[in-house]
Amino acid sequence: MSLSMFLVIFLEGLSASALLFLAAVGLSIIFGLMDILNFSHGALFMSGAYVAMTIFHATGNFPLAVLAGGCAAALLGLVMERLALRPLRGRPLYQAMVTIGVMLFLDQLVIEIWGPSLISFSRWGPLAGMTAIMSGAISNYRLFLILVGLVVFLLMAGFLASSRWGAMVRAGVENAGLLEGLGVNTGLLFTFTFGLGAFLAGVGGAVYGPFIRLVDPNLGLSILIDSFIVVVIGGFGSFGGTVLGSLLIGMLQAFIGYLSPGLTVMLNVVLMAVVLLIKPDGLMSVRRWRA
Amino acid sequence: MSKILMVEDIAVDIGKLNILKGVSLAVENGVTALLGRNSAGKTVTLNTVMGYWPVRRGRIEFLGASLVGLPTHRIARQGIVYVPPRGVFHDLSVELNLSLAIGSRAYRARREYVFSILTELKDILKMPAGCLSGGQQQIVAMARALFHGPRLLLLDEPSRGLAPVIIQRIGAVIREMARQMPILLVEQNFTLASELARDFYILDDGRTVYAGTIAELAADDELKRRYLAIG
Amino acid sequence: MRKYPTLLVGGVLLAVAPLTLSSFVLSLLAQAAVLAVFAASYDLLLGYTGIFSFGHALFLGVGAYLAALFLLNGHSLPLAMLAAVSAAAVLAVVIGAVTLRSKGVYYAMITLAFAEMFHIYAGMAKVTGGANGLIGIPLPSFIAAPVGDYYVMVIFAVICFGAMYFFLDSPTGRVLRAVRDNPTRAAMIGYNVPLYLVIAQVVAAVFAALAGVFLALNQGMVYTNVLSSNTTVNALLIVVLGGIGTLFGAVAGSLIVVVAGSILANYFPYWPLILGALYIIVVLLYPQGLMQLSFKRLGTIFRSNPAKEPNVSAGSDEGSDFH
Ligand SMILES: Nc1ncnc2c1ncn2[C@@H]1O[C@H](COP(=O)(O)OP(=O)(O)O)[C@@H](O)[C@H]1O
Ligand SMILES: [Mg+2]
Repeated sequence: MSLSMFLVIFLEGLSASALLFLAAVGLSIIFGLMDILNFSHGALFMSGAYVAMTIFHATGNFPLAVLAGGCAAALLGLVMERLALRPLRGRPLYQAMVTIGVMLFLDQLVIEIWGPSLISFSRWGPLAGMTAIMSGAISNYRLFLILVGLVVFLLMAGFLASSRWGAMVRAGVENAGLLEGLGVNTGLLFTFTFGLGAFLAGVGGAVYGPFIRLVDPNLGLSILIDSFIVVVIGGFGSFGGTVLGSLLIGMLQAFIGYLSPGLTVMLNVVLMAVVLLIKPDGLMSVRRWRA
Repeated sequence: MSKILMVEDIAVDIGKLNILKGVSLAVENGVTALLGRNSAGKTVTLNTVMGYWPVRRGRIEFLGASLVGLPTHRIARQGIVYVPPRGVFHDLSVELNLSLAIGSRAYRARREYVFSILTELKDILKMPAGCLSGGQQQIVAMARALFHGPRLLLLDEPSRGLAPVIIQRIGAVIREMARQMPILLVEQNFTLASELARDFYILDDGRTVYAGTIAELAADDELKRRYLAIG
Repeated sequence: MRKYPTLLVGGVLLAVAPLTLSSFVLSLLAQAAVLAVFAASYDLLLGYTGIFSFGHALFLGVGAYLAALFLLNGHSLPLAMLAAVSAAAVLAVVIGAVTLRSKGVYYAMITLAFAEMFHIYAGMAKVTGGANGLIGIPLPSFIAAPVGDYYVMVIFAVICFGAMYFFLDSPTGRVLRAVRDNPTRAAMIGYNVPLYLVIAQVVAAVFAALAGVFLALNQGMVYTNVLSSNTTVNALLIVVLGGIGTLFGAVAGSLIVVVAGSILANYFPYWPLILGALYIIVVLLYPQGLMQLSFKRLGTIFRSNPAKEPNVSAGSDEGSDFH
């Protein structure tokens, strides 16, 4: 393998990892902090992709489209947290079950609004070309994905490290009444946290669409499965684990080569099973989110 | 007006049950004891002041302003801290328990003062609060109140389930805290309460049935037998 | 015993139904019977053991595909059933072993991933007929007619429900409930909790696979859709609507989803959307299932804030991780 080929494959792996990270980070945060296993995560991701596609086709403004995708998903997340999750607080099994209902509802809603068939989602001009790397080349969009992944990673890592927000959410999940009694508006805290997770899902969907150049109503489920595998391998409740899981799977995909999508899923599932047999709670399992 | 907290004839329902039927009390500077048998409604009274339960009837005033209908966090921000028995966050380190709601700047500013009173904290700062003994958890919960520097402290059964030596230590801490802030103290341990408090109220079956000074109560064996099951 | 008259009346109604109902309704009822068995096997996990699976379709699919393959290759139905049951049991043990030491929440995600792997495989492999599935399964003659199909499916369902009922009533079934209610205490009493969790998974897998075999008979073909997560969601929907942990609730849930669904879908263009919303409302307000419907509780949906329950005393002992 020549150096330039290695570099190209490495960057492709890194961009795949960035995509997986963007897909999984919201799920990981919501579960790690709030104990909610959010089955509607993929549907929120997909809603972000569809809204971004619609805005992009209407305005041609991609940054605006990404923002709109994130905000649409965040809005759905906020409504969902208030109406469906808050009444079930402290009952994680029922919360997980209700998110499945939201998933069904959103999946169907997307079909009602945009129809059941694929819609193309073209790439924004400035991100459309290729960049030469020595004797090889990589698409600008992949470089853009790496950049977005890095920015989101740095923002979240900085936020988690510099604020007591993570600890506060953990405290609120353990004993909301006690935290409220210390002057913290726990309702707002939970709504914000869930909204943030949903926003990240929406942004992920908005940048994912142009990568595969289309949106389709099955997107939600495939993203949900990918995200699950990433966080299971990395270890739930660990931000670092989510990063590690994304890198592992992204790189594996790039270096093992151009497999059919079906084989990729199988490879991921086998990898997950192997990791679980060795480390039952994932590679970087912590009992609680480290904040 | 020297009244810090005024509770006037409140009634509280939980589900279909009528739990508080007529509780009245007033808190002034120093320690005020809220006494009564198990299930008399003492904890529910404190919870209601904090806004966890809505009142069906009656008034609650803090420094002259009504608390009725305010959400819990707004009540807390007016300067009332409620400390449930061993009320700590098990998942968090002791240090995070203390700094969580006040921010790290305020935490650093008051650290020295609090640690000078509660010297035992220094060794356990990095430990998860869930790993501590009951007495240590109670100390952490009270230390958190000191960090918050409230205008009123609601202290719920600080001695519950603790060994006599530790109860003595808790008593000393409460005495120190009482120099900084008015305290409404719920206690089943009458000896401890009588050492600390000046005024007392007795609840029975959701009603205030008696009020007076601790000195009177200490002398009244009949009263103690009837409502506190002592003697 | 008041149970027996009820059972008798139910049995007679089921037996005479073909005299009055159209063959369309009969075919829906037959389908509902099979799905009820599948959903009840899911309830063995969710409601009686507290295991939240998201890949139960795997076992239904394995049963259906194996039945189709065996029958297409000229083998007998009993042999096909034996193959389906053994394969499902082996798979359940493997998945159980992988997840045994992991936290409970992982189970839903891992089972989803496994099921999806088979779903994709079935869509690609030659042996499963790829995306076209396996069609033209040679059916025993008594199933070919709608009335015969109806009787076979209903009798199959009655036998399965009876078997599941006795299993849950057996000492093993009672241990499962003890594990569900408090795994820590069950372990302390001396039960081998992981073993019982695997037993529950195997039993549930076996009944799901049997339902798969009869689904293949009922449909006359097998298609990758049986393995999709939608199939698991359907089981969850049926169990939740009928009432979690109420075995027979699966019958009611299945009638709502299959019979009412295919009839109402003609009148309400947004039926899937309505079903999703209905499911959410049931989880929120009637966790015991629609059988517990009371209009007073419906009123609570309009009340702004459900009474908050302060749990401010020292942290509760109940772990927040479900298993
Ligand atoms: N969350 C609750 N739900 C239902 N009943 C409660 C609740 N909290 C307290 N009670 C009832 O209210 C009564 C008073 O309880 P409490 O105030 O805790 O007594 P104590 O005086 O021992 O602190 C008891 O009968 C108790 O059962
Ligand atoms: Mg009490």
